[in-house]
Amino acid sequence: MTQIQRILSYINFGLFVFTSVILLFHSHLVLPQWLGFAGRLHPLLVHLPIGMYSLVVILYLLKNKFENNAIQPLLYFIVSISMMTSLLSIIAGLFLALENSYTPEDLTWHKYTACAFGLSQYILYTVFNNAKTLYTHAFVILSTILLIISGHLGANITHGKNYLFPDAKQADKEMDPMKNSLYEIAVQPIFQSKCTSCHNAQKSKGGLILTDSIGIKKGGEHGPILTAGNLAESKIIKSMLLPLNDKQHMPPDGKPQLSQEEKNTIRQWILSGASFVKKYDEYKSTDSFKILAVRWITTKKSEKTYTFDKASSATIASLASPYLSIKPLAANSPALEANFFVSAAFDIENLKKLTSIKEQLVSLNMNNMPLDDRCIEVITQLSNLEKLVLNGCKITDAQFEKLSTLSKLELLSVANNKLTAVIEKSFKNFKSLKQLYLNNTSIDYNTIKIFENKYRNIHFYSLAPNSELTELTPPVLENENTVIKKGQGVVLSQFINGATIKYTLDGTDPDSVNGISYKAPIQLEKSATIKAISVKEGWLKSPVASYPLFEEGIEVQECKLLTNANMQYLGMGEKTFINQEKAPVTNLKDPNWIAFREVPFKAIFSLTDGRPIHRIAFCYGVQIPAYVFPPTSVSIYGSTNGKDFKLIKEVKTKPILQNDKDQIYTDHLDIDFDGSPYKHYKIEAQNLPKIPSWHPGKGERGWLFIDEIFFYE
Amino acid sequence: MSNPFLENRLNVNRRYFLGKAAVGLGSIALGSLLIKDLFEPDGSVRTEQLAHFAPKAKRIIYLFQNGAPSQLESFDYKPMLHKMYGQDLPESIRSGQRLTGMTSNQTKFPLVGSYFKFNQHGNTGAWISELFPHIAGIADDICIIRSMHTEAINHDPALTFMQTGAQQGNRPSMGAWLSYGLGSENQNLPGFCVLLSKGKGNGQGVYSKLWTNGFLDSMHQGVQFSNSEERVLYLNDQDSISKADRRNMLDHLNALNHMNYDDIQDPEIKTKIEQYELAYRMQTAVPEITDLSKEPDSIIKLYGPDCLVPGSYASNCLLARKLSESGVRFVQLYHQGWDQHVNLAGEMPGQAKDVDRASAALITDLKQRGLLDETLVIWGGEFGRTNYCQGTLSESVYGRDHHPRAYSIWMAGGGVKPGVHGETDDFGYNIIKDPVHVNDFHATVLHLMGLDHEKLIYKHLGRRYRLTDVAGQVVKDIIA
Repeated sequence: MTQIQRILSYINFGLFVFTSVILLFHSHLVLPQWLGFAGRLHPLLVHLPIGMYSLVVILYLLKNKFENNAIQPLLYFIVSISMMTSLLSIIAGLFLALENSYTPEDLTWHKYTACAFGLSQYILYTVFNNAKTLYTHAFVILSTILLIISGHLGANITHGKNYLFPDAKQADKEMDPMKNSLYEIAVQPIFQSKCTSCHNAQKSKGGLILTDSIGIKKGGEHGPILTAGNLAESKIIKSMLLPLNDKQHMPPDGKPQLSQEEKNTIRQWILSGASFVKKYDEYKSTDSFKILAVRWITTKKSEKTYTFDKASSATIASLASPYLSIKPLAANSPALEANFFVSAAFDIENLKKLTSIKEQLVSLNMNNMPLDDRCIEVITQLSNLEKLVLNGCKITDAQFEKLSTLSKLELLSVANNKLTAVIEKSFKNFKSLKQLYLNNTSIDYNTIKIFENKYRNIHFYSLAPNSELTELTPPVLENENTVIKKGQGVVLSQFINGATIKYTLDGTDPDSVNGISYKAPIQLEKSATIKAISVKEGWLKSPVASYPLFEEGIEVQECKLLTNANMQYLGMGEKTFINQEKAPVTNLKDPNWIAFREVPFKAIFSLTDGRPIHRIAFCYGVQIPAYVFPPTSVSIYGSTNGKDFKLIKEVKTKPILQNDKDQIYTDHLDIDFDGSPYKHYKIEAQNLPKIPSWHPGKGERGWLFIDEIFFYE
Repeated sequence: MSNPFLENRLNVNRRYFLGKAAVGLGSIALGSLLIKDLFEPDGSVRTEQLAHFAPKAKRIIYLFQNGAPSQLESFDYKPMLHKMYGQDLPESIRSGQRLTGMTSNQTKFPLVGSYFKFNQHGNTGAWISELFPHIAGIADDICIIRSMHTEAINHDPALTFMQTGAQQGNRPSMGAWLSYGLGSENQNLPGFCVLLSKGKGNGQGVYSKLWTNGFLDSMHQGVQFSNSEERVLYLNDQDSISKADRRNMLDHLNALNHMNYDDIQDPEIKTKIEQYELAYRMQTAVPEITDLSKEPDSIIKLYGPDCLVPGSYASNCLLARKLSESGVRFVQLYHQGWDQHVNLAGEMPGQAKDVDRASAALITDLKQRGLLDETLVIWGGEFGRTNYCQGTLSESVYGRDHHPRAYSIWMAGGGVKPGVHGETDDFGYNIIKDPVHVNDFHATVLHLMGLDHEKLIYKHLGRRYRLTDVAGQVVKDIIA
């Protein structure tokens, strides 16, 4: 051990002499290239003496806890190592200081304190085993202090001065567009976040300082960095736009880069004259810089801090109910917000109780609560309110004026109240008001625009009147079934308050003149298509809604199918045709549909008696994209005995053309004939035998969907 | 005569008993450790439903465009696709990335640009198609993210991923997580409401698993509002039951439930009691909110008169505003019909018309009420659509298949910075700048609501779950 100790002491002595020589001739030294590498190891090496020396201090303090001074040899060994690494770091540091452009004043103090630490520790090292305890004590303490100072100064160089205690005020400083220039609001924060860590008064790389307007105007060692209104001559723009791997590119590779938006902001600022003092109002509204910067103003909100104490959770719990929620603005925030819910359950007593937390209550929402004078009286006592929502609370002008005693109120929303322009006279009494919501009050939009120009501190919100004419929605049929039973009315309704319905039954399109006004349910005398529109003053009339309605047919005693329906669409069997129920065309799976494809439809219908029939309505559905077509022909045969059928009438339909390829609708054929006293009718309907060539299913058989067949006298 | 049952009993001797007991006691000790761990405040049990930090947004309205609207006909303008109309998608762009089963047998992938014109809007000069004139009118209020990407290529997994952060469908939905994290503002309404509507375009289903509470307490499940006259089914009492009778019945039922809870300690019993009480309070609160007839004409005109037709997207938007205004934490809309595989040119204008006016109206309405600052509105689908045509390409007809690698959504209000974020390549196929993964999207949404996505956790089946599970980065660039 002593052998090692001796070698270490020689090394340390050598290093100490070497360090002293470099320190003495520091300013005259010229470093060979390869030693620069050793210099750059300094930030790594410094951690060794810090760790070692800390261990020395700890063991030194605990020295007496060990018996017989047993720790002394080990401690001395650690001191030796600590000494050696200290000297190595100092040497590396001195090399590093030679090559880099660090700010002199930071560096000087770091250098001298570090060397002093080296010296102090060297003395400690040499006297460690021999001197009086008092001296070793003194040098341990002295070295500790020097190490802390030197270490801190060194850290300042690498991490920046604000690293340990970031200047909180700087970051959260609230910008007021009335007081601060637009430069301070929009541009300075960019420099501050991305540039000033190198270009500040201490570090000023390239001689450039970007922390204040003087430095920016002055520029760096290569001259000014910007020319107002001229991007090509502004070096700052050039260095921003150069490719990342270019040496001149700023911020340098590896540091946080400017976002596109930040680059744009700086560009537009220079283009608009690079003013450091112009305020928001002094820029033209078309100025691109102003437009970009405005987003900073409207969106940048700093979080408020409150100094009052928290309300006890027991108090809050005692006040809250399902109809009144009271919550902190965020976890750990003392500020509270209260919301009232369900107007039917509103009770003024709940509101009165809020006065016990009036210090903490900064936000109150009473949307749609029925408020009276007494309530307003209570609200005016809640003196810390910053945000108050009284939409639809039946507030009067006089009550509004009373609210002006809330001196901290910043946001007030009184939409949906019958307020008039009289309230203007109290605007000046609101001390902190910034936002006022006046939509759907009795104050018209133009008056609010005038307010806006008159009271620049307040931002007014109201919906611009919509002069565009809007189309109403068509009336809807309320009857669930379109087969209308005798005595049952046809009910139409529409959704817009104050709109009226016009309808026709003769197939013509109704408009505001033509057509019957709908007042009560319509009594239908026979099958008809009802066409209806909604109309209202100041609105465009709705599109025409058309609903084919059927009067109830004669009861059919029996229906017998002669051909088979398709297996997938059997509906409710033979009953489907005669159950007096229609089916929706949108749902072909509805059991009121029965479908034929492979074979035409043929069936015999037997009536209860031989009453003369004058008309048969054959109802079918059409969905061209789904291969569902109208029948090509329908034939009616009559018989008195159910055996010998005689053709009464045959009807053919027009073929479907390509224009109708997307059509989906229900329709029916009215087949009229002379009243004949038959009891049995045979009906045949032919489905489309060959789908035309324009259709994806060309050549195949078309489907025939039938939902009902009505017999009328 | 040996009875095997009796024999079996005799096998339990002293040594057997002690051996078993030792293991048993050990298990109990271990179990108590586990249970103790369960009730420790390690963040996996939320004792207080409060934000982690001051929130930018308090509520969310999510306008989900179900079926995946094409980004190339809405917010991602790609003139290159016009120049290269009909030409094959270069292999260098696709780079062998997967296709769906619907186009994997196509031999050609002819590029097709939007048949609808694009224009620049707002201060940011965002490109928005002519199909969305009203949304273009609020361009300065919205943040368009053109660089969303997801992992799933088919509707159901993609939709489930977007809603729950996992593709399989056993996790809580976003709304449930927020209800769990922040609770309901209004004790008279559920914290998570779901509204459905349907356009005429090719539709895809929505299922209640999308608004499930997953493993969270069932209180956090989304409540679906019906489009019928009775907006919340089975909420109203029968005519013969008076309010007092109902109260009396509930009080007795609660007493029984409490007895049962004291006996077996199942937390779902507590949930059930709370649900009954919530429903009771909803009987007063819901009719007040769902009554749209008192809305002034100016509002009706803003949303369009469709907003009074029950079940329309516009009426759901208006209802969403009323619910949100009343403190519902998360209102989820789904509008179906955006799956334009074949007839995009024919169907998309109708779909866009359904949603354009009301979506923009919602933003304007919230803004004029001072609510936009605290309400986050999200508009978008589950993935994008391909830049090449599916099926026949003609002058009037084209379609687009699913494309998960890049799509556009937009957000507004709630602390989001208006503008355009992210960029896709000239073909609109791959993202070239600022990609936003679904997990990142979730992380950002939670962040805006004042929640740290890494701290909003729930322990289930032995591990901790998050909405973002093990991924997700907050997209700081879009936060104001």
